[in-house]
Formats: sequence, structure tokens, C-alpha cells
Amino acid sequence: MTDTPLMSVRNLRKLYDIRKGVFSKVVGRVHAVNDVSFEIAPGETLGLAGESGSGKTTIGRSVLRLIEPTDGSITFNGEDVMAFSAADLRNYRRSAQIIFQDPFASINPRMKIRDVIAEPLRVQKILTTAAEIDQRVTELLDLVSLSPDYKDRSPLELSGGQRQRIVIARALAVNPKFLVADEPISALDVSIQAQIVSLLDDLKERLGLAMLFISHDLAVMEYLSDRIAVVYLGQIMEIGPARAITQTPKHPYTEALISAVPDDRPGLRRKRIVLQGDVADPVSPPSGCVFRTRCIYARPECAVARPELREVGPRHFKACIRDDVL
Amino acid sequence: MRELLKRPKILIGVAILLVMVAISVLAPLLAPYDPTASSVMFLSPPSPENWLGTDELGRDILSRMVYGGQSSLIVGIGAAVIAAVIGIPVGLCAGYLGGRIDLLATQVIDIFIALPGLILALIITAMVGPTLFNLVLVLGFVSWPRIARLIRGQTLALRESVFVEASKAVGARADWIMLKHIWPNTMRIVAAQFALTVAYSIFTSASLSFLGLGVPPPTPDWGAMVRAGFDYLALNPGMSLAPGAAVAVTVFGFYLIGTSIK
Amino acid sequence: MTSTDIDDNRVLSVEHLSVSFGANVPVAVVRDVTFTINKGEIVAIVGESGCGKSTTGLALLGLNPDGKASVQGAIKLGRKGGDEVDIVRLHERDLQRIRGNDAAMIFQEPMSSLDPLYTIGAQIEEALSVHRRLSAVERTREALRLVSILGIPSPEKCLKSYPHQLSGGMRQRVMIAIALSCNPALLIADEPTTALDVTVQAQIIDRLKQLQRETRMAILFVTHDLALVAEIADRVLVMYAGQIVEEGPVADLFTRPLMPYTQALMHSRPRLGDTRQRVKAIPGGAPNPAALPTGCAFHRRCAHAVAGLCDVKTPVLERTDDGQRQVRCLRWRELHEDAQCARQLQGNLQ
Repeated sequence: MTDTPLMSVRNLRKLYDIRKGVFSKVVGRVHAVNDVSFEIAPGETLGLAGESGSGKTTIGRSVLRLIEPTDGSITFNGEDVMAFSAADLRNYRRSAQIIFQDPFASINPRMKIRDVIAEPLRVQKILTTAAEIDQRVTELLDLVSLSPDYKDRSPLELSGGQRQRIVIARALAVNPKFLVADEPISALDVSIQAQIVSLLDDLKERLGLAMLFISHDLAVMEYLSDRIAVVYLGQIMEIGPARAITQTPKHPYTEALISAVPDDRPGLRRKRIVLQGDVADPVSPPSGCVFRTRCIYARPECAVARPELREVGPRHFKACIRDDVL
Repeated sequence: MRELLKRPKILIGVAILLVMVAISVLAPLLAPYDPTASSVMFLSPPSPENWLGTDELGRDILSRMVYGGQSSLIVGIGAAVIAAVIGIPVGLCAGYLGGRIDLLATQVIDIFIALPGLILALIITAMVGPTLFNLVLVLGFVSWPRIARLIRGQTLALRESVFVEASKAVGARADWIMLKHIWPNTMRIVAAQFALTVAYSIFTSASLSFLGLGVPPPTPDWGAMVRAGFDYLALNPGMSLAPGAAVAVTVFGFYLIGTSIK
Repeated sequence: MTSTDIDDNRVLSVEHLSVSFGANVPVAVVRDVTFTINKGEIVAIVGESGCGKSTTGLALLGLNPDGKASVQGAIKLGRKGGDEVDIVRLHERDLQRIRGNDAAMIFQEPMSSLDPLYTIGAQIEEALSVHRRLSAVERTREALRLVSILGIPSPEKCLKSYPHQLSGGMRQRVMIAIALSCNPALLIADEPTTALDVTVQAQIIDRLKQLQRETRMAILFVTHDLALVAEIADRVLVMYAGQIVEEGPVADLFTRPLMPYTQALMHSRPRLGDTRQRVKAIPGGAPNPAALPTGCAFHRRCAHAVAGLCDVKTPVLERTDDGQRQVRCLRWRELHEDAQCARQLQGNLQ
């Protein structure tokens, strides 16, 4: 039984023009996001896995309309996000928030922590008196396991891990139902990553947050996500339950990705698929299946048409014409 | 505010400015002589009667310096304030909002910067008449483009910051972002340019005086005094050096304040 | 008869290496580090940022900022000619003869080591001309060979390209090609794949392992990624707060980590495919080298710390009975026996 999804994305596209020459003539277009569709149920975490150039960051920003999609539909809580006016969009930002990758860049260094966290409250006019704001900021700091005396400090005094907690506190200030987490731990030290991963895990549970978790770190993604979508060159290659994706991948790219992750349990070495070459050029992607130039199972038929997403299991889809390899 | 005052640089800067203002305000009490009173003892070197000597019309330089602050400070600071009041919003909006507003603003700024400020000030002053009030307006009007251009540049860079994007993500509007995020991060640069504008205005008004369009003589004016003293540097260098030092000290005060903004 | 009779099998011997920064109040970032690397061995140094691993790597080629860093101890490198030198005592001039030649280094960010104004081919050939005597034709041929064996597609095109035209993975491969151009006996790799996509990392590690098998070059691999260490290294050194806290062969260390820090590090990252685990973050943060805790540097964050012991007594690096492992922990034996008992009990219960 499927509930109504919280977020439904259909045929999302984002194209960038490439301009060359003195007159900035448009000479081509980059399909950063090329016909992407997925759904996220309330309280569910969908992981977006992919490498550089996959478009996963663009997808994350597009569903919040921080980047304007070129085409496609985004439905949140039954409402058409693409049709939102400026006022509707501001309202949308109460329900859908984002945390960024670089904790040093995402906080204005000149603001006090209290003001950083209180900004959404003030901008959205949720709370107006200083006392109310102060109390809410204390609550939020507590939510991310920071003591109230952080309120008066400056971000410059804080470490990466502490700043990222502030970023999370700020995002949660408006009580969102949906959170886009764009590589929230990649810029942190390894032992701090664990703290933030645990924090996100805990908050998800407590607050019933739905999350779009964008990362290139598959192990963390599997840990935090209910479902995973694997993205390559702006297209979804495979999407399905997290464990199914990581343990029984059905798409050659997923298989290669999983096999490339180093494992520290000796004897549990996966069959290592080493791909040829680097990620294809997004300006002139291969015809048909974009992955075919690196795929070890590629056949001539793969160049004909872009494979549709086909069901291979419960809520598990792959975009590959071959059924005989995985 | 309190911690602002704890830093020595700001305290010294503010102290300097207060002293300069105080001297100017208290000029009637401090000046030993009437600044416009000429005498036959022209170009005399520093002596017990005239601590800084006298100028080419026999007027006491010290008194002129003390009184000179009145018009110089008004012109200098006033012009810089007008330049800031016009330049900052223009720079912020042009940089942040971009598009046609930016296009228009950049054209205007470029035209102003291309024209020599002195000529422009000359023409306008000639049209409106050289009163102190007009001088302040004109010099401010001539100086705002530089501040605007500086701010616009900073704004363009800051606009792409992640924390600005984060602010947009919580639903902030353009005015909020410009006020809370962009402006505080450009203050420091503006402060430096402000100090420079003070100096520029004082000296440009001096050039205007030279051409008869500045502070009308015999009202003492530091810029004019420096100019006048050029011809007599060998005889009484204090004529130029003293008011020059006064300008320098004032600008230094602004500089100290400006550079202590983090 | 030289007083330092090197073991013929040894490529590097680091003895009591200490590196401090700061003139007035020197802060030790690397403290009394001793280890060896044999020919053909891949040794990894693993630790979090600030533990001193990168500083150690730089010290091996005398690359610590002169004047700011003070290096003590001995770093004995076996040269190609058979003799041995102490890097710590060498002058810059002599060091230049060694760098790239007897030992080479690759870094995390290849873009900063490549000159954007010259083609790749030019830069490789330049590296070749420094240490090897080849004609111009031979140099070009050698450059081509090097980029080919690194697995770069269209090698000729690559040689004619400029650094900004290549992807991160390609640039890193070029860096390795340059490093290998003079057949060094030792390659020091400082987080070479941290900035790369995981599939590219897999390719490069794969290629590196292959080349290493062919040339019997020794590699010192500095990283924070434990899993990567398990994939590539023969032996691993775990560093914390400037010291080695555990050492041993990879298989053994990963099956039986003896030092609580190593154990905590392993539990702090989720493992792909491991369905039962709960990630356990190590509380607190890395210690400030200028203000280290008393006693054991890790005790404040250690789940097994005992008051009165771990905060008072400073542990030394002890060897295990079989001589294969080293541990710096006051309670390691006790904890190890407890763990063994627990395992036995579990075995008995089943």
C-alpha cells in the first residue's frame, strides 16, 4: 500500500547553455539533469548517489527551486511547485529546507550564532519577540547537542563539525517536513562525520523528516537511506530499496560503483569492476544509453535508444536493456 | 557596541576625530588671532607670537588652521557622507539585482569615473554657486561613483556565496539579503574608501578655491591653505605642512576606524 | 666498514623522528616516530587530520617548511647506488638530487603541482631531463610510455593537452607518471585519491598496485581512509596526536585491532553491506598538539580509559609477543584478554 508521496518529481530537466565567442553565441547545451523522475514518501530518505558530473547536486537544488528547472513537474504535498508564485515559494521554504556541504561557507561569518539560527524565524515571520526567538534558538541548539552558550559566539570560533550542527539547526528552525542534504559530511574530518551521521539519523527518527540525501559516499548513504537512486550524467540508472541497490545491484553502473568502494574486512573483497576511462562528456553524451561507453556489458543495441526505467523488483527499477547479466 | 570600544584602534581613531571636531568647534576660544586679520608681518617664520608663523597676507597660520577645520571638515566629511549615501545603495542594488538595473548603473558609474572629477565639480559649482552647502553636495555627487563601483564589485562576489544561497533557501528576500548579508561584508572596504573620499574632497575643494569656486576667501580652508603654501615652501614650509598634517590626521582617524571593522 | 650497515632489503628507516613548529614555543606535531619500509612493501600511515601523518610524509623528502619546522631524528633512505643517506642531515642541493630520483612524492591536489602554462608532455619531459640522461627523442618516447602504462586513454592527445583540459583523475595519473619517471625506490603518496570519484580511485589504485608489482617499488601511503588501507597496504601504522599508536600487518590489524583508538575508528564508519552495525562516533575532537592531555593522548575520548591510570601514565609503544605488532596502550593486554574471553563465551554459548 503506497501512501501519497510527499514529493513527486516527474521528467525533471535542467539544461545549461554553452556560450562561446565574442558575442556569446549558444553553441550547445549541457543536460545537467535529463528527464529524472522519483518519489519520496513522508518520513522516507531517498539517497542520490553519483559521482562528479552526475547532476545530483543540481537535482537537489532544483526540487527546491533554488535553481530553476528547465522542464518537468515537482509536486509537494499535492501542490505544483513549478506553479508557485514568489509568495508561495517563500511558504514552501517553511516545509522544505536544505543543508549544504561546506560548513565554513554556508554561514555568514559576521553574524552571531543566535542570528544565524534565528534567520529563518525572522525571515518567515514565525516568531517576532526577542524572548520567543531566544527560546527557540536554545531549543534548536539542544536538538543538535550544542549548549545554549553557543548563542553568542561567532562562527569563526567554531570547528567544522560544530558549524555543520548550526547549519542543521538553522534548517530545522522552521520545522520542515522535507530536508535536502547536499553532501553534508564530505567536508568534515572522518571522526566528525560519524557524529553528524548519527545526528542526522537521530533527527530523522525524532522529527519524522523526509530527506533527499545527496552524496558520493555509498556506505553512509546505505546507512541513512531507505531507498537509493543512482545517477549518471543527469539520468537515473537505477532506483530501489537501499539494501537491494547495494547488495544486489541490477544496473552495470551500480555494480561498478559498489565494487569500487574499498572495504576493510579482508576476505570480503567484492568482485572489483574497473571501469574504463572517465565520466563521459556531458556536452555531447553518448547516444542511447549514456553509460554504454564505460559499460563492460555494452552491446551495439545499447546505442540505439535511451533505456526506460523497468521494474526489477518491489519499487526497484533499472534503466538497462539487458536482463541477462546481473 | 561595547566590544567595539574595547579595541584600541577604534578608540584612537574616534579620539582623533573628536579632537579635530572639538578644535574646530572651539576655534573661537582656541585661536590666538582673528584668522582673517592680515598684517604686515607676512611670511614670518614660527615665533613666540605666531607659533606656526604667518602666511603671505600676514595672517596667523595657527589661527587659520584652527578655524580652517570648520569648513574643511564640513566639506570633507559631508561630501564623503553624501557619496556613501548615494553610492552604497546604488552599488548594492546594481551588484545584487543585476540585469537592467546593473546595466544602467554601470554605464552611469563609468561615465562619471571617466570624467575628471575636478572638471565636473567645476562646471556644476559654476552653475549653482560656490556656497559651503553646494560644495558639499557637488563633491559628494562627484565621488559617489567610486564607492558604488567598489561596492558593486564586492557584491557581485558575495552574491555567489553559499551563505547567501542559504539565506535564499530560508525564503529571504533581496532586501533582507542585501542588508543583512551583503552590506556587513562590504563595510570594511567602504570605510577605507570613505577616508579617501574625505581627503579627496578637501583637496578638490582646495583646487576649486584656487579657481575661485571653492570656499570663498578669506574663510580659512585647509585645502586652500595647502595650495597657497606651495609657492612659499622654501620660506615657510609650515604654511602647507601644517594644514596638510591636519588633513592627514583627520584621514588617519577615519582610516583607523575603518580598518578595525572586521 | 660504515657504521650504518643498512639491511639490504630496507628502503627506508625512520628513527625517532620529531617535527616541531614554532620558534618561541615549539609545538611537536610529530613525536618520536620510528618505522621501516622494506623493498617492494606498501606501508600505510592512517589517521585523522592533525595526527601528523602528512608532516611525516613531507619530512621524508625534507619538504617541511624550512625555518618554520624543526626536524629531529634520522631518516635513512637507501639510494639507488646502494649507499644510504640521512635526509635530516642533507642540504637542499643534495635533497634535490634525491627527490624524484630515489624517492618521489604525489599529493592530494594534482592541480597545484602542475604548471598550467605548459603541456603535460613538456612537464613530464622536464621531470625526465632532471634526473635521467636521455636524448630528446627518447624523452618523448618515455613520456608516452609512462602515460600509457598509467592507463590514460589517447596518450598522445594527453601529452599535448594542458592541465586544465584534463579531468581530476587524469591529472592524478599524470602526477604518478611524473613521480615514476625516474624509477624511484620509494613512492610517498599523500592522500592521492581523496579528491577523486570512487570509480576513478578504484582505477588508480588498481593501476598503482599493478605497477608496484612489476617494479617492486616501495610505497608509503598516507590516508585517513581505513578501508583503502585494507585494500592496498601490506602493513599499516596508525597515528594519533603525532605518535604511532598501533602497527602491524594489515590482515591481522583489521581482524584484531588492539588499540582502542583503532577500534573506535573502525566503528565510526558505516560499512557497505553491513546490515547490523550502528555507527559509533568518537566523542570529542582531536587534541590540540600545543595542549596535549596528560598521560595517554587519547584517554579523554577512550571508552576504556581508567581514571588514575590512563590520565596519569604515558603509554609507550610495546611489541606483542609474536613481534609482529606494536601497540601504544596501557591496557591493551587486559582488553585483549577480555575480548578473547568474551568471544570464547559466545562460542561456548552457541
